[in-house]
Amino acid sequence: MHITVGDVVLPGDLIGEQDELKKVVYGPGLRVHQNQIYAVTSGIFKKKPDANYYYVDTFHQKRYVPVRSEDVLGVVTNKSGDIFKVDIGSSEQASLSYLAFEGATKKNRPDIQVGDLVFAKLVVASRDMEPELVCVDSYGKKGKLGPLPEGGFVFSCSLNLVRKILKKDYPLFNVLGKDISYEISVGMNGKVWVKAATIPQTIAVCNAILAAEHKTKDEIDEMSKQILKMLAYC
Amino acid sequence: MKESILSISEKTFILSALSETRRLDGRKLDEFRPMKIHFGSDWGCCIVTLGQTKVIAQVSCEVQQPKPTRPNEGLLLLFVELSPMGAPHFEAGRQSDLAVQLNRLLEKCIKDSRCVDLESLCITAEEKVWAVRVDVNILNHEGNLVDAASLAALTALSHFRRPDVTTTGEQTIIHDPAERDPIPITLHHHPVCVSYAVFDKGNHVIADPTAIEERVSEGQIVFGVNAYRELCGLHLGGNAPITLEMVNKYATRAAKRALELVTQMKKALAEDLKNRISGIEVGFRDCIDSNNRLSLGKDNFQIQLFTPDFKKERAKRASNIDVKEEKINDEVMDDSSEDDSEPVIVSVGKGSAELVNQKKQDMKLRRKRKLQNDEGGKEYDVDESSSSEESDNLDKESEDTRKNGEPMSDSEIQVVAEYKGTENKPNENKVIANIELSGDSEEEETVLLHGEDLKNGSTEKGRGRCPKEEKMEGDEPHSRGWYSKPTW
Repeated sequence: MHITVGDVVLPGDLIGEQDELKKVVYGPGLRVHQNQIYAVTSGIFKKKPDANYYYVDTFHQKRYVPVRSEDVLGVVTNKSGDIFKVDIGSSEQASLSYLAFEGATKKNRPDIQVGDLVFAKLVVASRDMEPELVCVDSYGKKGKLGPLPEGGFVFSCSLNLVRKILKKDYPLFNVLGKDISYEISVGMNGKVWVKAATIPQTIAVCNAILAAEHKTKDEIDEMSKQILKMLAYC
Repeated sequence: MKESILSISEKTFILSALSETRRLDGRKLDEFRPMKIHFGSDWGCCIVTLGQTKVIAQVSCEVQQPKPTRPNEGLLLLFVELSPMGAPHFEAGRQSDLAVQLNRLLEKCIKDSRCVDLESLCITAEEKVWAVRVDVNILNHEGNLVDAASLAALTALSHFRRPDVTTTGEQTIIHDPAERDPIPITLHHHPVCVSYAVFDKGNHVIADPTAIEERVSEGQIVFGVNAYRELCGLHLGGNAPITLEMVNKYATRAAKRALELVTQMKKALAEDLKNRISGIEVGFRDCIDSNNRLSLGKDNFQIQLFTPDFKKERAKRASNIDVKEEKINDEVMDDSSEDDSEPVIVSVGKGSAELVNQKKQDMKLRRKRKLQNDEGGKEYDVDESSSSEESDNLDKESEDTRKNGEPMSDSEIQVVAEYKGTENKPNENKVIANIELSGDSEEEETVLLHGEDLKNGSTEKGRGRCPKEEKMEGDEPHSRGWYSKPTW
């Protein structure tokens, strides 16, 4: 059976032979074994429109499989020696060196407690190795990375929803932002942190995000209006 | 897999939300998630869902030798299993602390309360008895496993049919279900668990905690209660200081909830039996709703501002507001016995009476309430005579309303409707108490009626929606109340 882009694939499906001459990147869900390309997860076989990048899109997956250079949101679970262990929802906990923060030196350690939330970038995401996080970019600046401020609420959602809300043209955040001011941090691992001025507002934003998963743009507008109306009663 | 640790943000958020009497899923503090019961095609098999928590129970039986200490009693065995299907941190095979605790709680509630008639399970004394085994499996863990597991076990037990047996001399014949109709197990009463979670050193107590609330809570109170308000088990967990008053207060509420659950269970059982008799195929496939993303559950988000029920109520209330009538909360009528004018006892029918408030008194109170309304602030002058539970509710409500400037809680909606009723029939009286005067009991029972009861009462001639109603209809033994009820 010949598989083309847009087909549904199952683990073990043979997609094709590796072409040595063409430069092709095999993304998540694909594996090369003896010059043959196989799907290793179930989902839709896709190709990035502007690059020779093939991958399997897994909808509604809840388990996060770390991918290099993705930004994730994690909970610090352990402090041992010179690394923090961070739970990012993957099968293994990621490690985050205390030197991987802006301005951190051996003497000047970042102030992070167990249970804190960090927004970090994955630098090592191999299937045989422990994932590794950093909170600085290649220039040593923190940018948007680093420990999240106190307060707010964090919840998990499906990976599909996270990818959806991170699209540039996704209307939800703008619609909500007209009436509620809030901070948000969305990790590719399905964890979302929201902080608004009041507790009902925070719950409203979380509710809106979760409810938006299977809605069209018009429905999102309608839903946001509904939620804002409800918020007036709080 | 180890359970992932909770972040500090989640903990503080839940606690600060509770201090505003708000919960993540939009419920009120004393609100339970909807409970649903589905039956499998086999006898003694059911799935109970409590919000997103799902529990399956299966009852089976076999012939065994009885215990030498209890030669003429059958055996009841309860097993709870937590598999990784329920939650990733449950381990298969090994019994975790939670599983042991659940098992013990169910045993306390069902086995130790002796609700199953074990003597009826005896075939021949000292030789053969039925061993009834209840297997409870957690399909999904979203908090409050105890409630769901206990109701599942109890429903499965009441649903179960064991094969009929005849003994002729030394021979024992176990009849095939096709040959003779299998027999249900006799249950003397129906105890269920109702659990509460305690926060902030006992300042906040919530009903039916979700998984995350359970993890943040300082302690939990689990009541095993049956429909007669009898306490069949009590478990105080965690390290929160729990006072006697708290236990008393929540035991009363748990009793109310237990009655609801048991009524619901009986209704579901009756419906299932009706379906089976009329030949409709019964099975779990009915509980899969193809219109929903999730089988067994509506799209009910774990984080939401208000529960769908509340939204409906609000819509109803919004339509009421349009009338722009001045409506006054009549809930104070409950307590009018404290006032100067004498309440009158009016006989309603054989064996019951109503304590009735005089009309004048009504008007006076209403005027008073109206004044308070006009002033903007909504103060309820609730008084000691109503139970602590009710005054607590009112306090909360008044708090809510003060914050929002307009009424929003459900009891008020009901009261609004009720007031309309009294408007149409101005002479209609208020039921204050339902006093049992019949001769078969020495005890006098006084039942405190709530706002919703009043509504029922005015239509049903003073019959409260309380354990009494069941007692009146059923031929069960009378007056088994354990808790001191407020007397007049």
